[in-house]
Amino acid sequence: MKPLALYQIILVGIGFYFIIDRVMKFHRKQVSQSPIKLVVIVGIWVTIIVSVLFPQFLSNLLSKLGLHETTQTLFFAAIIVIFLMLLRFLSIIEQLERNITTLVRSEALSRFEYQLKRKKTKKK
Amino acid sequence: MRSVYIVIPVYNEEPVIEKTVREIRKAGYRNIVIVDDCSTDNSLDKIKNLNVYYLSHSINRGKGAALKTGIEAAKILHAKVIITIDGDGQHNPKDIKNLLTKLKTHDVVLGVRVKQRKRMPLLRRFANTLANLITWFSYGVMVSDSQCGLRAYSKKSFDLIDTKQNTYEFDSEIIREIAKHKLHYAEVPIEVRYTAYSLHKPARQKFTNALTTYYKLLLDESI
Repeated sequence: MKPLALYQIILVGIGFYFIIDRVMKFHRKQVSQSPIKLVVIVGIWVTIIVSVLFPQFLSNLLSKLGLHETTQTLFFAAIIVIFLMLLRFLSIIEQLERNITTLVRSEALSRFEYQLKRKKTKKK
Repeated sequence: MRSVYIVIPVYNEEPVIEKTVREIRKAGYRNIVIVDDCSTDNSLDKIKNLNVYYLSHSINRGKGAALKTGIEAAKILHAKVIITIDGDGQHNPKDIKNLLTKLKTHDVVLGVRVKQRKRMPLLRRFANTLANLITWFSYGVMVSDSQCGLRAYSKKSFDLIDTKQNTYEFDSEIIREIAKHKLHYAEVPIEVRYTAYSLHKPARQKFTNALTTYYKLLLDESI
């Protein structure tokens, strides 16, 4: 096996960092973590690490998929990255929407409870 | 009847909300909780004069969010049974009786719009079928009408069910929660009145809604 280039070491390091971080988060049972999320994130990083460590493997795989031309490969990779980013943004937006709803609901219920208390006080 | 609470989500239902409440009262239900989801017409002013429990969202959040707010309010009022019903008057409150009868032996009772199925616009029927299939595919629960707004919940079920969806995905999310908590559910045929008013409202059961529902419920898993 050839000695690793600097970019490979850096990317593999980053990959392992994110995998360990995700597994630890899941292990600590953080509220936002789910098994599906763990599998997807770890799967993506494992794919990146394998691609970086064994570029020939990726090249062979892309050849089999008919994506052997470099430009095509870059284009394909860019689409995947954009797709993943889009999913991430949608996920963040959805989470923000839910947070807004929680605030709006909490405000509505507080006013409701206040009204109820006032009604009870008036009756007394 | 005293511990039965009717929850109605309302968004721009000014022309019909008064009639809807009147019909519910006529059917014998006094505890009515209305959630105004930041209507842009005078719905809220009308609701304030109806002598019902009411809440209002300061920002429009969608039907699902309004329903959850209403359910939370009913819990504060110590409800033992919660009925959800649409605010546009398309449901007949007389059907609530049948739902309550079934609820004696089940945790959740779902209304099924079968009586006038032939009158349901074709696109809505198609979207509804697609939503039912998606629900079945996703949660293994095959219901006849996953998008019907008339439903009854026992205390056990509304204490367990936890929804997060803001809009019409809420209805499918309930099915997911039924499957998740292994709740006993039943389906009861109900009447739907497709009036010119309800048909002219923006269609809730569009083909794209069914796909959005699936995508959002999938996204729900990844958040």
